[in-house]
Amino acid sequence: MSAEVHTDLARVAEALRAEFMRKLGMLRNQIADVDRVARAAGERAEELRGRLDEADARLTRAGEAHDELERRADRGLRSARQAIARLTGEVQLIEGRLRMEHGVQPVDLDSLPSGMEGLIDEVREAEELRSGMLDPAAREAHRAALDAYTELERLLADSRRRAFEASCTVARARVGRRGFRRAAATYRIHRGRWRAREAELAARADEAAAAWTALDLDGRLQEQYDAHRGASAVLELAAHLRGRVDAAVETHALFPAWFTITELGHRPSAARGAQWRDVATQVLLYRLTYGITHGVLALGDPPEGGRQAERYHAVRAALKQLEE
Amino acid sequence: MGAADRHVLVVRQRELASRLEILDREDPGSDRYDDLELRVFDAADDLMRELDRARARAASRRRVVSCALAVLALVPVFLVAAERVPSLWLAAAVVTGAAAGVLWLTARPVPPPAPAAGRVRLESAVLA
Repeated sequence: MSAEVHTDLARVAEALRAEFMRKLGMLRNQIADVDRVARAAGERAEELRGRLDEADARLTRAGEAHDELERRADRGLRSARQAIARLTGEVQLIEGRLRMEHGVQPVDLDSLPSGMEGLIDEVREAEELRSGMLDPAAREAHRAALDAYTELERLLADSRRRAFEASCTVARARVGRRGFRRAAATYRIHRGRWRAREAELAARADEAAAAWTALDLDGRLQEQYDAHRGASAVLELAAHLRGRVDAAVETHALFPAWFTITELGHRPSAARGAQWRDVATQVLLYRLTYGITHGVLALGDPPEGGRQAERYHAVRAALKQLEE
Repeated sequence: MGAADRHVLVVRQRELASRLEILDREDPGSDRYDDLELRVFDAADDLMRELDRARARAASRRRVVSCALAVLALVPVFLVAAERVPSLWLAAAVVTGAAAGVLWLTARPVPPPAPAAGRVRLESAVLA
């Protein structure tokens, strides 16, 4: 009996071992398969990465080539524009020389008809008045200084009044009593403030006097300028000069050298005709107002300061804008 | 404040009051008005100066008294230490010492009211 049981158990154990070994073999096969698939996937990923790097490098090269092409195109365009501008200038120069050889003289933009001499004198007088006037920033600074001085004067008067009121109380109160002591303390405070403000006012007196004088002169000049005919004469003169510029362009007249070597050139461009006309008028007005007769520099030598320098820079800025 | 100091202050106060009366009688638009007003301020300034002097003298007196009290406060301490009097006398020493301390504190030189220069400078800076 026990021998049969032992045999059965050995058989079952053998069967289980065989089953286990079979399963183990299957698992090993599966692991080997997975391993093979993973290796294949890795190789594929590596291959794809290589392709991507290659595509990236190709794209970079294409981008660089594109940038280079763009740069070359820009350089080409710029040099073409310069060449066109040079050629235009040369053509216009040749045209000018030909015209001069044929007896055509450049249009005279520096002189006015005899009937308009008075007008330019009035404009110059008005400009003289205008140059003596303060610029808005200086005017505002002087006004602020005067306002501060006036406010300090008001505060000083206030301190004086309070000190006086306190002195009245001190004179009436009984010596040593609380009211007397309080009034004395109040008097000291306001008397101290009064003295300090007096010192402050004295320190600011010169500045305030200078501000007052400057504003007074500015006001008188402003009145004279408003009353002067030159202020309206400028508009009249500008209209006349604009008409002359228009006439010169219409008749294809030869502009003088000082005119053509500025940003104005020989002719207005189609896109900026109105702006060109205004800037040309400004240049002529500047030359006539300040008596500039330089043959090369349209605005003459740069002035050192004052109203003329302001005008100079304004006209220069207008010319620069024309170039942009 | 001593009687002499008070007398001087009263004299200065009367002077100030009389100048104010003269000013009251004057027309505010007259030429003398400003001059008289300045005289009023001079009198008020004199009064303030006398007040300062009186205060300084009072403070000096207080300091002397407080020193005397401090010395007096030491006497019971020595007597108790020498076992001449009962230790209850130490309470008297404490009271006297405290009185001396309070007097010394009140006798410190009082700084005059701020001249308000700082405030004026601040206002000037704001105005500028």
